[in-house]
Amino acid sequence: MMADWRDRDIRLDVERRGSSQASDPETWVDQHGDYLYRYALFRIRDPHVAEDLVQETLLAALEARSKFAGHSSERTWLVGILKHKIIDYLRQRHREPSFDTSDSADVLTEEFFTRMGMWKLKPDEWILDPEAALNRKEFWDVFARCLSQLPTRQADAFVLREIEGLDNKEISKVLNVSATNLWVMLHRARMRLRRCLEIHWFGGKTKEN
Amino acid sequence: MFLSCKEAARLISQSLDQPLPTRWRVALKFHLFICRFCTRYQRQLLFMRDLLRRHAHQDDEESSPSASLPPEIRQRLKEALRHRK
Repeated sequence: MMADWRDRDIRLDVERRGSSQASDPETWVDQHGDYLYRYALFRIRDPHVAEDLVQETLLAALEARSKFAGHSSERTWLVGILKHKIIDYLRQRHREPSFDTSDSADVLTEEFFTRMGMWKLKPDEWILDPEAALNRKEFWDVFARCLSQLPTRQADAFVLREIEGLDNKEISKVLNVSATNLWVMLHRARMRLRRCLEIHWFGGKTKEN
Repeated sequence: MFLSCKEAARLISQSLDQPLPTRWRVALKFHLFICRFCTRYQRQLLFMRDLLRRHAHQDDEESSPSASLPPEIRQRLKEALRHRK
């Protein structure tokens, strides 16, 4: 019995490689489920939405299975579908214009700069070693927490710009904001994230300022 | 033209999204030449960008926040995929 199964699996594997088709959809959950989930969660920051997006992605992939050309890996193909689902979701999330007052007043100025426009909290010295952060789960946990402390639109703007690499024009459309507004939002997001990462990860390396 | 740090920080952020008009670029360059805090700020933003780009291109589990699909969702998904096949 065991031998039969193993033979069949090997045969399927060969066929799959030969015809470069997607593997059995039932295996997708085990092979890619957690990866897709983390991918969505990192960008959307809401576990339930991330679950839904993974589900939608896998079902859409099932429908489109015959179109999978095998030019890329199965995972790359699935991530491509998920990316579209994420953008669609963000478009929906921001269909209403923003009334967020934290983006209208000069809040940032008071928080980070003196009246004269000098740094209130001077940027600390960081050790700029990407390897020391890149492969550390703890760093990405800190990053995710810092990101989720931003106002939603600000965080989404940052994600689309710095993680997804969209240009400002595309992002304005997805987030339903003007170009000027987007600049302000990105400026604030960068300012606050940098500060948060400094407090929780990079900072305290030097006392001298 | 002299910039304050507040103005410089705004321009640093903008320059990450599109090229600055020449006069602002020159003004920023001059400010960065004399201000180490804004120089740090710019370096750190570029460092964050570099980290995130690299992160997006590697797909091992070591470099992700720890999280996995809840078991009941996995089960539901598997069933949905089986039935609609």
